[in-house]
Amino acid sequence: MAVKIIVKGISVIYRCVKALDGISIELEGGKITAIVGPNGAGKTTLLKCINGVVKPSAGVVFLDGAEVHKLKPAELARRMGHVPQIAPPHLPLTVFEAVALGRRPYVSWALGEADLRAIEAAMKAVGIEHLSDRYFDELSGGERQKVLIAMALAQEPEVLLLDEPTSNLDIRHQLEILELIRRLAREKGLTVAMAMHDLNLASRFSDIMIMLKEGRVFAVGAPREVLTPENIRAVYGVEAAVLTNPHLLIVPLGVVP
Amino acid sequence: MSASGYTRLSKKRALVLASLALALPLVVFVSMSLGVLPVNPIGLLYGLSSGQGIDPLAWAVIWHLRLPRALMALAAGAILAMAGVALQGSLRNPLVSPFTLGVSSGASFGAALAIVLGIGFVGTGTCLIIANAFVFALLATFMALGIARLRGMTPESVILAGIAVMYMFSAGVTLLQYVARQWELAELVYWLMGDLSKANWHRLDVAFLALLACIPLFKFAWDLNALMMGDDVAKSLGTDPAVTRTACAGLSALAVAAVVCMTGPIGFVGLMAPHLARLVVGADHRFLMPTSALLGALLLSTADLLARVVMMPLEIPVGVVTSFLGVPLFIHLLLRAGREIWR
Amino acid sequence: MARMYYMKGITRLEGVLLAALVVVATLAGYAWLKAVATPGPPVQQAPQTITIVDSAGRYVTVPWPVKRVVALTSASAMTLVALGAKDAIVGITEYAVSAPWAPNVTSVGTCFKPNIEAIVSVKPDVVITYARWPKPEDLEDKLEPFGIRVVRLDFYKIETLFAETRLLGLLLNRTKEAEDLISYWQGVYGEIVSRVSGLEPENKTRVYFEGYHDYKAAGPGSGWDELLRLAGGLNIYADAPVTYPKVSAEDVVARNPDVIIKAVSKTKFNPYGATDDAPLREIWESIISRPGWDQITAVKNGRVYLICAGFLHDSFGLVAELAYIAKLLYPDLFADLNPSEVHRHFIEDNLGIPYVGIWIYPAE
Repeated sequence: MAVKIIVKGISVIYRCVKALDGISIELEGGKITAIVGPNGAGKTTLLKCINGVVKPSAGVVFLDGAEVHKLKPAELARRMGHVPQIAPPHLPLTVFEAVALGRRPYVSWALGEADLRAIEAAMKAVGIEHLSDRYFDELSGGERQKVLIAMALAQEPEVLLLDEPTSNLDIRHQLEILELIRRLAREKGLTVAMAMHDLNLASRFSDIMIMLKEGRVFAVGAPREVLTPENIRAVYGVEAAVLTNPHLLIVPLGVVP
Repeated sequence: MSASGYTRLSKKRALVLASLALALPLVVFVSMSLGVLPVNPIGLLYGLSSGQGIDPLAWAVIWHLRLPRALMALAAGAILAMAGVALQGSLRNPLVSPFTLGVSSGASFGAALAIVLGIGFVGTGTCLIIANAFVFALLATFMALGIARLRGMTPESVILAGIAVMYMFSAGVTLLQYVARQWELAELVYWLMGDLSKANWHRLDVAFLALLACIPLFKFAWDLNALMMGDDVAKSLGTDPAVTRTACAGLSALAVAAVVCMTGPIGFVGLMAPHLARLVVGADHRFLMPTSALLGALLLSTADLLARVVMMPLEIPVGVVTSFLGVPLFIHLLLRAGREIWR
Repeated sequence: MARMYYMKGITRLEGVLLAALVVVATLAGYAWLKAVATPGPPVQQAPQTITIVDSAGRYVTVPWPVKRVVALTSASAMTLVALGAKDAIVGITEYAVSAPWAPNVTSVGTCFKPNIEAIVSVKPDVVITYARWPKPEDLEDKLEPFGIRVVRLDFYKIETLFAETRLLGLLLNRTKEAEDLISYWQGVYGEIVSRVSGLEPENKTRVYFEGYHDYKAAGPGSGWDELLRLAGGLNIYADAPVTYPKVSAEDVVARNPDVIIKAVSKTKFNPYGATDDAPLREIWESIISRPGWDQITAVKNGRVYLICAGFLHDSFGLVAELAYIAKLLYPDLFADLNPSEVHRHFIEDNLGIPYVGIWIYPAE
């Protein structure tokens, strides 16, 4: 069942700096929304607001009509999964145990039948069953990212938030992960939002793109509409050419002085 | 592996737990049999069960001297280990021990105040020392947590605040040592070494209460697991890191203070037992916590037995034995390139 | 997509019950242990007992006469030997277990850390220890289930030494030996004290008395301060705020004492049986060569002395030590006093071992 997230006028102030300023967006159910923008534009902060991890100084986030900050953390965790950019440097757990963490909102002590099935399903969906008893620290970057996604899926969420899911991966793993995400969004009807650096990948794998500049929404729409040379110049200060070959291809040409 | 493999692993871990639990009465039994007074435990048990007379002296020695001490070692070891696990997990730092938040230096300061200056809250003599040590141990923890709270209860802030508090109270202890008269100085120095020989049945009641206080820590097992992924991800999994940290630190401090005020600071057990347990049953806190508790109990019991028996009739301070046992173990862990340890 | 709120059902219940069972079983086991305790073995009532007041001000009832004693302090052990009751000692402090005057008995730990099991295993009638150490919780309370009593006598302060010896003699039914001991030592002590009683404060010798550690003076409350007072000396650090103040070299120069005495601990130099005084000479030279100390009256007049505490700073040796100090402070006043003879009496007549060794440097 696809749910809608409505972000209404949220502002976040970190130590006198306005990280987000009056942002209002909507995330459609069953669609993938990419959030792009330069460093410090507020992409991660926005995700954290939607997640409930950061409390905005103003504004509200609605999850399917319910205010996110009024929901209990466990309740919220059953509906929203968050995939971090990178796992902590040391995680002395097996892959199975790491994915099992996603069941935290459902269990108080023992992992029941339903929990085990959910973990297995999550690993299967991501394609890492063969890694089940390997230790997390032994895996490659791409495999780790898959485990993190599986962990979020084990929460059986309606919403999936990803923070730079491909920044540390090679091109093969980048494609694998993004195709996986797209497949999950379509098959399970998840509402997906991902913060991305890579404009090409973002445009190729998202349905809606939101471009942030200095904590404000600069442009919203289909990737084709948002990624214009004018927008790129205005937001990134970079002269770029936009080609179609066959996917949208942005070629940076030079820095605008 | 998948679910069936995981279930098998869980059963293996449960087996480890059971064997450790069985080892406990064994260690107690050995402890009853060894000491200055030669005691034949089998004869004693036989005498007890068959109703024949038993040597009253041996029985009195076991009942009044060895048994309370052995039980105290079990309780104290378990408490220190549980506190160690809870703190290492909630602060995501493998170097943390139950004393990181200043519990032991606070207790030492309270004891020093009572011993050297006779200043305290209730009672006289030993009562004064114990009450003082307890109160100041908790005071130290509250100070550390209070300071950390101002900085958002992050692991770094908790640890730094704890270190600051520790240095402050340690300085106080040193000052009191300097102005102490001869007898008081000796008494304070001996207190600071840590000592299980003062265990009696009354103190055991307190120790068991403190053990009960550790039980709520189990409720946070999943939270501690989730915290391994970092504060932000933990929040998105439904865990409140600040609440978890405060609860773990508070409960640990309460239990450890209750122990330390009676026995003095006994180091290393709270640091070592969790690491050893992690090697044996992995990092899942649902297994790690009980295993640490059992290992801590076993370690401290063994250390106390050695302290009592190695140089009879002289007793080595138990804190010295735990350190001598602990240091080679620790170095071994450092050198061992394993996935189980946090480097 | 299934939104699963898992009904915990049986598994959770089982888990809770199991946990509760473990907790209850542990508590029940503990309670059973306490309940099933047989109240200790019946205390043997001796046919005759005596009730005395010890140096801690406590009333203690002990079997009489006392035949088996555990001496937790060297001082009490020495006194027992001096009373001729060497055979009555069945357990002795670790510090004295290999002393030449001590009987061949087992060690029972120290007065700081008594080993209760060791004490119990030698089945004494009484245990003797200092008035303040160890604490009753660590000794009396632990010995009570075994019916062993503790009599607290110091034997390291001259003020209480004689009364305590009398009491100990009474306990062991050796009152004659006690009186003989006391009459000799009280004689020496009384003679010294009465001779210095007439001294005017401005005529009193000013002394810097250093303890076992460098620059740690003997201040108020220390045993040596008491000896100095009794010997008629003026401790230049009698007004210190702590018992063993750490002093600076300059400060001693400023206070300019007439005599300097340093106590050398038994571990640094064992005076008993020593024939070579070279180590003492080294210490002595390091003292007189301290910066600026050549200006001190004591150093200029060659009145710097070392006293070795071993076999001297305990029991009746204290009176011998008093004699040494009195003679060092007032050589003219005590020209007829021979401290070595007094000391010899202690070592040979009281402790029963030959009088050999070096206790004072420079020797007279």
